[in-house]
Amino acid sequence: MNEPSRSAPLLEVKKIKKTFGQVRALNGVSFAVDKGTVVALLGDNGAGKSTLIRILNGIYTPDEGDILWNGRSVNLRSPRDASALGFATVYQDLAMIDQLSIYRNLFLGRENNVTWKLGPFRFLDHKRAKREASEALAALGIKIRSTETLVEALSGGQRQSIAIARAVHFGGELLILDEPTSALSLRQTKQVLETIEKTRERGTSVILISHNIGHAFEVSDRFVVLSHGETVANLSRVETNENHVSSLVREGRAVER
Amino acid sequence: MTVIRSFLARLETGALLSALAVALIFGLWTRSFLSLESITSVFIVTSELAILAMTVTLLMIAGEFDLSVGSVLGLSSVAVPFMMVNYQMAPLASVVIAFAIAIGVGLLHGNIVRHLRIPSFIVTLGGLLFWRGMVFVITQGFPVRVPRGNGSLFDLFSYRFRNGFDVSLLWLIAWALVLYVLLTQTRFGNWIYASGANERAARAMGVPVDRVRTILFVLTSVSACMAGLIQVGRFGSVDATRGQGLELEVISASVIGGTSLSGGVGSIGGTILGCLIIGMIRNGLAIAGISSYWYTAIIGLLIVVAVLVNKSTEHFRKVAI
Repeated sequence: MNEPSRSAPLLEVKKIKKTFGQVRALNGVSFAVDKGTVVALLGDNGAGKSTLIRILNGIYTPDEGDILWNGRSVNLRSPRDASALGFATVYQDLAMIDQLSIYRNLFLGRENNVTWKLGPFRFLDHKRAKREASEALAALGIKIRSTETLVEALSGGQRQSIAIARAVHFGGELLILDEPTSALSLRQTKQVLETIEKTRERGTSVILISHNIGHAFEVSDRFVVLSHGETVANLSRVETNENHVSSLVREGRAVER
Repeated sequence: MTVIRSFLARLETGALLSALAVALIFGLWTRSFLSLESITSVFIVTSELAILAMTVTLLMIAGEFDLSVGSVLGLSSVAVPFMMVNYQMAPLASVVIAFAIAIGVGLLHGNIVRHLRIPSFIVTLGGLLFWRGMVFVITQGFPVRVPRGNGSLFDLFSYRFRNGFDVSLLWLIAWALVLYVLLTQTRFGNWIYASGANERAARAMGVPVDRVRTILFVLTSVSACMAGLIQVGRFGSVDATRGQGLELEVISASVIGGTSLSGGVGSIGGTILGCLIIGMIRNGLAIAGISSYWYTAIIGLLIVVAVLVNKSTEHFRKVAI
């Protein structure tokens, strides 16, 4: 967290604008994410969070504005571009396949690291996949008895944590977590928040999108509040408190500090 | 306890217990059910059914159906003697063409499902009727015989040795090994399960779901052709109704073996056991002199019981021991 002040932030979003027909979804949004920090992206429904996330995923291209990655301007034309840079988005409902075991889920679509080639076939190295999966989970302090367990037997918190571990394992430098704690019990929420903490400790940055300001407050270093496509607040943890952030999200008004 | 738990945890357990029960019942009922002659007859039925059913199982795990297999079997196997009789083609050439037809049909079904976004149930129901219609158009409803003196090539597909065992059993074993390794040991197998279990998540993870399914449609048609050629070898002729009703028998075998209709669940071992059960019941009823009408009723009962058994052992499968 104590990078020299001269070094550029990992991600910098500058004056992004995006219009769909008559609807102005984003009207000059700016914020930055430093390496190894958690930035909470807050705002009511329709504030522009989803549009912004889709832009960062290369699904939409902005009409105006710049995206800087390590200080260099980048052009995100597809989700592939985004993930090649090190963006990893974890969607809650698309994270895991119930009927597959944990380790098969972890390597799904990215089996090449744990396969060997013979002619047109790629054979899975189960032993290695299980070992690497256990290591990836242990690195974030996730305790699972066996990676052979099917995902459908896990709690919502465990699934979410494992999805985060997968993103970190495959070199995600910036995780975008879309409502990771919605629909989770208290205990499971705690587990996910702990995983996010561990992720930050490893030097990975996180953009956390959440409706629950209490959860966001527990782990975030910075709070970016969007309203009607504009950044209405961009505050570090020491500059604000939970009530203040809540009222900003509720009122959607720009507040000078 | 752990031994019992891990036994119950296997998807094939229900089918294995049913198979043993069926063998026991017929074994006690009629002494000759357990004779070599009878056992090898069961194997013949099982082999032809399982070569096709195993491939259909893979397709069902990937979340698609193929109702056309019986008609594709009819089409590709009728094509062989038809070309030999009417165009004086060599047996090998006609076999190659039969496989080419099967590949073409599989590609067609797969691509219609993929590009026109029509459910495979509908596409292959259309296929079931269309290809059967083609068989009748080609043969005018008459059986076609393989011309005399051309048997040797077909002995490769089906030849019953003096001890009763048939070459088709070797094809079953070979194909079972290939599909088992494909399903459980390769990246492609991982993709098969993922495509059927949660298509959207699989796509989000970068799994080429459409390609996986198209390949499986082709493999299914090719397996239908293979099963058809085994029957050409066994009977030396093909009639226009060959393979009729097979699609339901094949799906029944898969379901008895633990395959889920909603995708993502199934195994090669389970489907082989499902086919074995069907083979035993068919042969057992014949030996016991029971009307073959009972056969259909019993299979119907068995499907429902099998699904009940699989549901009751479901929770053992979730947590690894």
